[in-house]
Amino acid sequence: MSTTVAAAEALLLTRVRDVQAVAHGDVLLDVLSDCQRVINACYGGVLATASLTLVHRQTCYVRSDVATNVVRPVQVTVNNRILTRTPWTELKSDNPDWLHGVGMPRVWDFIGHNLLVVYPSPPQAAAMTASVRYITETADCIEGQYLEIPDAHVPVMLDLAAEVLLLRQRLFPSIAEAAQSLTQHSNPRIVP
Amino acid sequence: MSTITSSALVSYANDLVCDQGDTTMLGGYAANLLAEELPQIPNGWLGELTITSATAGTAQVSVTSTVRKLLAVFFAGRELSHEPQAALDAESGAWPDAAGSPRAWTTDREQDRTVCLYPVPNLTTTSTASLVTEIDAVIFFAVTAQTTLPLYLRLPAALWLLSHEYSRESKYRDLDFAKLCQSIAERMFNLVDGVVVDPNVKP
Repeated sequence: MSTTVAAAEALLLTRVRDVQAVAHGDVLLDVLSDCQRVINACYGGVLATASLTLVHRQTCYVRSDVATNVVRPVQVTVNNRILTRTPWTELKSDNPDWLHGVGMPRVWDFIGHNLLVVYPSPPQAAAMTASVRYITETADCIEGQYLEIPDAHVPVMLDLAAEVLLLRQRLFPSIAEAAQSLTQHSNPRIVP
Repeated sequence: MSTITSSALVSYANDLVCDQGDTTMLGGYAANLLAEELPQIPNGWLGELTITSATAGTAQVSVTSTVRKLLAVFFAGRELSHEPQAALDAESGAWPDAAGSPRAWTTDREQDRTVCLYPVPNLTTTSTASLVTEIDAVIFFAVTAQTTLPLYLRLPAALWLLSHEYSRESKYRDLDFAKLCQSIAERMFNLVDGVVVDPNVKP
């Protein structure tokens, strides 16, 4: 969050021995932007919250119903009560009619990259809003601005970006070193 | 919603290799990725609900052409059990003639893209209403072919295309490059799902 895009570019270009950006200038920002998105999707360093109006008899919502930049929800709250994440395949045992089930929302799940399930749906008379905390899709990197991800996640992002740039240069032995570095910087314990 | 189209993905992939790729071939790989391969990549698929109708007295229901993998089938809002036909045979030898409200579905011994409902529906359903609120219809919960990708999948998808492009027979074939493209793409597909895989560990 305090690392500038320019600083990240300089670090990256130094690591791939292309400080003048002769070989990678055309795709550098795109690769940095994409690596930032991938790393944030993994570690969830940039989060946001959106409101979702729950609809009577509707338990499935598409990603865009929540917000335009959702990667993956991590928490759903209704009336200040945190719902339990439960695999959707278990809902049938609770109620075979779960697709249109009605009641006080208790559980949620996210299917693939697209469908958010909040079960059951609210009663007809109740206007209910869910608060969805989600990992955001970071925006494109822009010169003169800051990276969005936390500083703690920058090294692993640079490792990943270095792998891609070294791949472009066909420097295969160096890729193994970058992959090793990425592994060292990857700490599964901080994955949400 | 930030998405990337097939043509934009091809353009981006080709940028990564300084326009050395064949855009026609890359376009084919992109179409195949969106329609066939992405639904097969673990955790990489995109779920959708699709709706269709059933006819009273007909057990067979056609599956929409975009569906790649059926996850669940609903009839009139109820999730049906997925049963092998052998189980239905064991329940009753005359099961194909039984009529009522379906409680199971099977695909054994059926035509491609057809599911068989049991018992045979005794009412005709519609498919015109809302996917999520309609109760009187057949709804498929499925992995489907896509026409666009979320933007955060752009880089792994582009590397995936390049792995195909550089492994085919051509004047610039490079199997080492192709293998690494595939390896890094697979790792990124895992990363976007929050899965950190050590690339140095042999499976």
